[in-house]
Amino acid sequence: MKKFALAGNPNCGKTTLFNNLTGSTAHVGNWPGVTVDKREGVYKKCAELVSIVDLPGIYSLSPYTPEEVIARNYISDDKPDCVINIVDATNLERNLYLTTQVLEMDVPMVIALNMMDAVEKNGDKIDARELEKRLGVPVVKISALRSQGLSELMDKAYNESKKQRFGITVLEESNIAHLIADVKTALTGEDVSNPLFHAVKLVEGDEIEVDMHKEVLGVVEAFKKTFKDDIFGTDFEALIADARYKYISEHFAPVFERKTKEKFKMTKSDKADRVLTHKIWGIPIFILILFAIFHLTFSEDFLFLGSIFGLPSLVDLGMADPITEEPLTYGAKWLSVVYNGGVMSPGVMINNLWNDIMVGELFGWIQGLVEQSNMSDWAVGLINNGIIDGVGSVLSFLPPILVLFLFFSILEDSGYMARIAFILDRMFRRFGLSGRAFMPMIMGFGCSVPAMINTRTLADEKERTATVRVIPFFSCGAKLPILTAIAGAMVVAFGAGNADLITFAMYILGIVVAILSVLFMRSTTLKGETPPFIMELPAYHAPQFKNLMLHLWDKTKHFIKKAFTVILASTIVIWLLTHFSFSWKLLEDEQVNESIIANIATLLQPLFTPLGFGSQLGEYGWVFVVAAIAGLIAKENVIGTFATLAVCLSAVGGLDFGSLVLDAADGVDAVRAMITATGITGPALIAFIAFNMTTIPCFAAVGTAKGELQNKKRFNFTLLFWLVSSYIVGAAVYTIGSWWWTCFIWIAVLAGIVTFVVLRNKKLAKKEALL
Amino acid sequence: MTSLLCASLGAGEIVLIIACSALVLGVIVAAIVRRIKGKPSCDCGECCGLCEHCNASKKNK
Amino acid sequence: MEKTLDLFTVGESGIVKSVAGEGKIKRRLFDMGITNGAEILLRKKAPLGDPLEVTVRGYELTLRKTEAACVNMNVQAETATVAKENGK
Repeated sequence: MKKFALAGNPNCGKTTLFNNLTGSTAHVGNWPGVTVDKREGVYKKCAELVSIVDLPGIYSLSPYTPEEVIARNYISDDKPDCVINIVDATNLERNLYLTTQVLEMDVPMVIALNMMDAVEKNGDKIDARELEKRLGVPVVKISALRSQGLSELMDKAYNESKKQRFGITVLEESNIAHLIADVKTALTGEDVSNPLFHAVKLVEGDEIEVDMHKEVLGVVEAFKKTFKDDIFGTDFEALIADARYKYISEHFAPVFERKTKEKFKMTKSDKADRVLTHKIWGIPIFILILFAIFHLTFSEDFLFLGSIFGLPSLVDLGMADPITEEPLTYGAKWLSVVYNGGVMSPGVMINNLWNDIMVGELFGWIQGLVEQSNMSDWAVGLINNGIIDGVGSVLSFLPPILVLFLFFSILEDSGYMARIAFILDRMFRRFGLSGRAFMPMIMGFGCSVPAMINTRTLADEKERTATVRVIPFFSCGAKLPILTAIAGAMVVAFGAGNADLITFAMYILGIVVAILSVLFMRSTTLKGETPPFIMELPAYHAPQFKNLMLHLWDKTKHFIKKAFTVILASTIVIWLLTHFSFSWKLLEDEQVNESIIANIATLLQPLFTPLGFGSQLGEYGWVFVVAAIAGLIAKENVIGTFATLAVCLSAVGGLDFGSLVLDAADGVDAVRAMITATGITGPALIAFIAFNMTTIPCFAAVGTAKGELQNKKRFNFTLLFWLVSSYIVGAAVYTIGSWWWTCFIWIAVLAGIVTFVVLRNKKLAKKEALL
Repeated sequence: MTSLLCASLGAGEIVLIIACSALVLGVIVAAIVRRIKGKPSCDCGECCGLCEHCNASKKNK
Repeated sequence: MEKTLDLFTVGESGIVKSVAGEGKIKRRLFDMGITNGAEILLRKKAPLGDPLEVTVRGYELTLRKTEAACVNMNVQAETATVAKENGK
């Protein structure tokens, strides 16, 4: 099987091309740095099967960021049969800069001129034949988005892959051409592959090369002593970069024929930017967009219509039970999907439709069937209360996760995400990060794992570590159920507050903790200079419908798969642990306090006393400990555990849940049952959310963090960091929430730490200055 | 207090026990296999394309 | 007139004369097309006055003032269109 590699600048449409060629559903976004690792797919329409490798987008083959090193090593070491260099035709000069470097390698190569549709729409022209002649490699016009020219591209690439190509360089005309030739000869003598490429890099003084080929370094050094350029002196790096761009503007740029002679033309993108990145309005607009997303997803009072017009609730209309608020008729149930004292936001409508009508009815029906069967009580309990309630409470959160994810995909696809980095860079710098770090962080709202992988776009090692550590604080989709279920239950149980507001506030708390932690780390253990921020701002474009749907479908598939494997297995295990004692006796529901899990968790329970869900909760307080531990496997488990336990607790004498248990598959009711059983206070519940949000993330995220940090000590320290920070945050939330005056103590402690760190850093700086 | 052995085991119960243990074992074994292969369990959510673990396992298929 | 890119006002443009700075930043500036002779237009400043957005070689690039300070420029006349767009 032949192997073709796709190489090109970030955001030039590589991944779109890859998806079109292979039918794969790789993640596509509109900001630089979406692909951060190489991946493969198969193209089937050539004479033989072709494996397509999508490399991360790079501007150059220098070792500036890890992703550049991945791409460079792949082309030079893995020797693909052909490199397809994708060139964004709307941005020819800068894209060809990479091309001039790939040309130097001894590898067959085809240029794909992408986004030709956009060029032609502007009325501009590119003479591809002329470009082909000047470059010496085939050039094919394509539009990856509209799947135009793809088969021609692949045919050309296939033909090329049968030939051999030797590297050529555009530096022939520069005054160091003979030096490069000398080094190349020396390297050829050493039997190095791609001698021309390595020779150029060596002359540039590229760190990786210098390490690899110490033997010929002498030639370069000797030459450098005798050479002096009028402009650059002996700065070979500058000289070579300059020579490349000069060659490009002289020889390649003329094939591009612009319709307008104006050099700096206002495009539609620029017009959008005049509003979206406006000096004054940029930040308010960004906050408004974030708020709108949460409002559209979670609000049960869309556009505040209910509050503004004082609309009546279903209870007021006599269509729902005044106590349980359950709709009385089937018609009322349907009405409650879209309206209850306020119009539901689209996100909530989808959620209600899924939960009340689809999943609720289906699961209820299955549970009825199981009850009627003549299986023994424990089996009915396992199926209905263990499996169905556990998985059901997790599945019920699919709609909000998808809706939220859809909005973030739109932000990303449209190109707005990169602008957010632009707007926020100034603020991020205060914390010792670049605006780029914002991208992985906001991805963290979806899932920590891709977010952590995305930190590879950050060039600075310390910045990466700090970012990886705080990503879990950006509450991911799986943590959403914890937020909404507990917030919802609190509003019902204590009759105060607003679920949207609590949810929103918890997101903000996560962000604040992240900022504080970064500040702390960057001024203590991870000190270093603020990394540079030099980034392309891609043109805005309307998100592709197909692309969005692919994202959503991927996400749904993954979520359902997880619900029926890891989560289902954990619910079964938790059910077993709650229904067996240490002597392997099957326990009745009301004996849950003798169960294995209760025994273990009771031991740990005192540890959580400062957080409000420890010893003070009495004999059933261990449920929160169990939930938190189950959350380490997958965060969805937290609420799933509550649902499973709710049924056990309801059987215990003296606890009266009323109608709650009938509907334990609803996360809110499960949490309400926990509140009734333990008498946990509001501040303790919030502390519980805060603890779960900031503690060690799920298994998968921990595994990814381990892979990304690539340093055992740093990884262990990260685990410790998560534990300590969540404990402190939980304790702070609980104590301040219960006794407001303790905030003075916390502030005093915080001030003490800040003073200590500042003084210590000053002392260290002085010491360094003396040295 | 009924011990598991004393509980009546009809066909339904046996199927249930087998299915549950198969699932739990399956998940555990899959996790162990991934660990032995040096791949941490993959949970990249929406972005399988971004995830080297997903792609590695796809390749093995 | 000569000055560094960070001192430009919005709408001002110029030609790169030389690029200073330490290794990585300089390397990155080169890769992004900021080399001698490249024409740069300062398009706008972020809400807090930093980073900057410039047009170079036909695309939009953002960089910080500290990085822009590495770029020595020969100033050209203000580009009329952009000045107009910015309401001057």
